[in-house]
Amino acid sequence: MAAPSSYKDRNFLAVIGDEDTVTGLLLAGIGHVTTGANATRNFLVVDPKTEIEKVEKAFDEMTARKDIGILLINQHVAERIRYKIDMYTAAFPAVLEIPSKDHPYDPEKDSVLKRVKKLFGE
Amino acid sequence: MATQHELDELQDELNLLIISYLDLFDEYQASRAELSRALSDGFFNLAQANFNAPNRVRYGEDMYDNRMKALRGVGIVVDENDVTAYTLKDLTSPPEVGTPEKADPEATSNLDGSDLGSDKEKISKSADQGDSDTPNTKPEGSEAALTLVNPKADPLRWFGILRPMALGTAQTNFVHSLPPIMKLVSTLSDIEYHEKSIRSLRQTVRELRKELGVNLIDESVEEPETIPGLDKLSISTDKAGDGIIDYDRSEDSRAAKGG
Repeated sequence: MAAPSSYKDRNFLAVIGDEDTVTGLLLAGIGHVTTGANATRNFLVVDPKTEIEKVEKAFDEMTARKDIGILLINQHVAERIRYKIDMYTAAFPAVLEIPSKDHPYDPEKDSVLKRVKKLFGE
Repeated sequence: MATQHELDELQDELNLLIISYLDLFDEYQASRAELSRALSDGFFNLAQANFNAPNRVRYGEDMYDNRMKALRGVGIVVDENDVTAYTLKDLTSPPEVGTPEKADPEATSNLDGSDLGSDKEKISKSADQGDSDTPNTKPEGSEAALTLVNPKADPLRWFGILRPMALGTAQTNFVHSLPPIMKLVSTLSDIEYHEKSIRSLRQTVRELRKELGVNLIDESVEEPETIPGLDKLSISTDKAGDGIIDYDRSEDSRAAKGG
């Protein structure tokens, strides 16, 4: 059983996605900017021009933070860093792929559906 | 020495576990559809707000407040099986004095927002009951997290006072996308636990069969195990992005015609 210290301070949701997804979720009140000299945000707006290194760095930083419980990432953005997502096995934060305005949810890319098929020998 | 009776019991247990696993998968798909619907409505209203924006401003990154503080967050409870339950949490209210450190799983399990549709009903019920004993009149748990407590910190204010009404509607849509998110990640954790249990139980059953000398080839427990019809199962998405399960009946109909 995971020690309560590993998750009790994980109060925030984080999001990596396109502008509309991030704007919507910030409207919902999940956005947080820390105070101090090294102010960090719990969101990243990704557009087609955003370099993949920047997305990877944001993913690494957000998954390393101790105050994030759930990391939301647009499925089409997750596809750009698929190897990183597949390699990620930590219990916290939980990573969830969500649809975006221009890229509806694609079940073929859903890791859960893949796992179900694998479990039943598909 | 293992007996046939023990083997039968284990197989029954395995079957129940698989049924429970498939139920969870069904729940997962329902939450996926709910999330897609809420986000789709939110995107539509946001697009409408951008279309109707005065001076053609775009409601996006340029207008975010860089001092923003989270109003809604996540509460995490892990049970003895390492299954994690995520709940929507109101971060605006200060923590209660004297709150026990360990959260009550029964109490929090009701806050996962899974039955958001009945929230209004719950609020009206609690109003009818008249909680005169408690001075705190704020709704509890996820209900509190769904209604803004501190309007001064409302993110809508970043976008000025002459914002289109659709922006407020979009906000409501996105707020309502949070409970399905909580439900989804909680279900995912439960699914992982079930997967581990199924694999381990299959292994035990295999060993027991070997010990009893039961033929492995013809039995259903031998991996890979295939559910009849699973190959015909696919999930398609409509334009709104809702996951819909399609069952390819063409083969069945062909067979029926041929027969």
